[in-house]
Amino acid sequence: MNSLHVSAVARGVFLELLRRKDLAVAGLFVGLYLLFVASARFVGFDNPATGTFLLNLSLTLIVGLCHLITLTTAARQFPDEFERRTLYPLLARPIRRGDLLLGKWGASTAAGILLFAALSFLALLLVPRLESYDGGTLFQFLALQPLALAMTAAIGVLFSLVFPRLPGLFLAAALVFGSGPLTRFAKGIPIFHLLPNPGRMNLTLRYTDGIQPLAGFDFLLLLAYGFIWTAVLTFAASILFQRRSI
Amino acid sequence: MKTCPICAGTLLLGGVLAAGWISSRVDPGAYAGGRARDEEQLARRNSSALATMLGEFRTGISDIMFIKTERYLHAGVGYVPHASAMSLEELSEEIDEHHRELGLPDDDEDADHAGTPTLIPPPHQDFRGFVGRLHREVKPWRDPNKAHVHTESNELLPWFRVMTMSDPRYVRGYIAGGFFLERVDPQLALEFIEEGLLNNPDDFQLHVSRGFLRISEARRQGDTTAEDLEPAVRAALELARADFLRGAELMARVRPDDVDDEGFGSGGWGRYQESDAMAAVGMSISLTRNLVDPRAAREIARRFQGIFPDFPTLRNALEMED
Repeated sequence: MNSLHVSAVARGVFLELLRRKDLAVAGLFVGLYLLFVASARFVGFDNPATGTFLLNLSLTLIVGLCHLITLTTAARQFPDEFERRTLYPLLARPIRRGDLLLGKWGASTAAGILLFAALSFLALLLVPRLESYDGGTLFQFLALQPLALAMTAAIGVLFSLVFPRLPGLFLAAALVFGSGPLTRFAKGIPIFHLLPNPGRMNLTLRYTDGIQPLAGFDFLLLLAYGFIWTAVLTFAASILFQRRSI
Repeated sequence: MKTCPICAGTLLLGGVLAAGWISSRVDPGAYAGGRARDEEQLARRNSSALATMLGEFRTGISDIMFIKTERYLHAGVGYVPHASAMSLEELSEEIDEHHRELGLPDDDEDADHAGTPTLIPPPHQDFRGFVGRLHREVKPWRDPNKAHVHTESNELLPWFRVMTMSDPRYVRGYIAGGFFLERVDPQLALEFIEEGLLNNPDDFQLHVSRGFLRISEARRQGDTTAEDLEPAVRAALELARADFLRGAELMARVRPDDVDDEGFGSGGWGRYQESDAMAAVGMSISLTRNLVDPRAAREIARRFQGIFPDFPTLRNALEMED
């Protein structure tokens, strides 16, 4: 891996994000969110339970939005390049396919993490915390989400290489947002645990429920879960991309 | 660089299996209680202006589904949530109150819950004019001043099934679902509660629910008040007694010390829990007195005397002679 090449590709993805006004759309969401919190503050919180409700709602929406933006960013990287035929001049340079893939995955992940950091900072700053919440659980939540976003980006990249653009995005979204409920619904069927499930690392409800953090070993296992799935998915995407005839 | 296909396949498979093992072992949502499942919190949240602004968009999917069951119970008419903090006993009373109305809509002005505001406002409160009229025509709506019409509870059952599938720790869904299911198929109701116990073995309210289901079973088997109980009746009552005793023991571990006269205490303890706690102790004493002997019943009464010093069933058991 050549880190210079990877960062150059990632920079390209960020420039593309700016050009496509994606950040403006994200800003619009932030503005809407601020308006919502401001109106909730204006209406007032009748009781602490309502404050907790708003905190939960905010974090849930933020997590969902960040995963959606990460997924759509990651899933359009290769189809766009194939469609516009901009991949050929890129690969004509001394840049390896693996570096290209890592750069695109890394940039999509970073975009999601930046958005998550900005929005969750705002949420934690603006939404009053009227009941007791465990700081340890918050730390675990904040530590796990970047990994969950990395996993989502890897799913997006892999599916965009396997399927055509729209079906790929649809299936990837179904997996990112549906594998958790599916695993819960099919509780007795262990095979569903083999589905990549970024939602497994979402501790929003645990935090707003005021529950203590996960045991140290369980937390490490969840970190390992995120690392393993991200590695497996990017490795699979890399193999597919290496073997793809362009 | 060439990747060996077998090595790559092994690595990928190993990774997937390892991740699958972790997924089956660690579930951050696997904890008992929590504010999202707390009756009191739910009631407060539902009564807040913010919840009204957001309509049915509440914290959890199970919560949303519970609200759906309320909508189904009211024949599709959306009322401002009023059953949120209802105990099972109250829910039962409400159903029984309206049972005569099943299929026979009654405009009895004095019936309970008349006056609960509907989500779609009545004409005199609706500024929307034609749009409001259309809204009331195309969506189920009923004058809020008239008594509620309750449908047959069968329509609610799939919702309880789905809500407990989506959150196996949503005890309230199991208890309310078991209650409605009993009207249709008592055996299925028992299985439903047992599934709840499998997922929440330490929840005292589920033990109490199963105890009541077993008492109903005993009543179906024969006379539960007879001097010489039939073997099947006795067996069912023995099982019920074991459930109530287990429920009472589990309750003693979780009931806070600061419960007031209204039945409210810290940690989200409310009337819903308090009535089930008293039922667990009361039924344990009554069944032990009938099935074992008064002395054993007295032992149980002594065990819980500190928790419910003014509970008549308990006082009677203590005063009773052998």
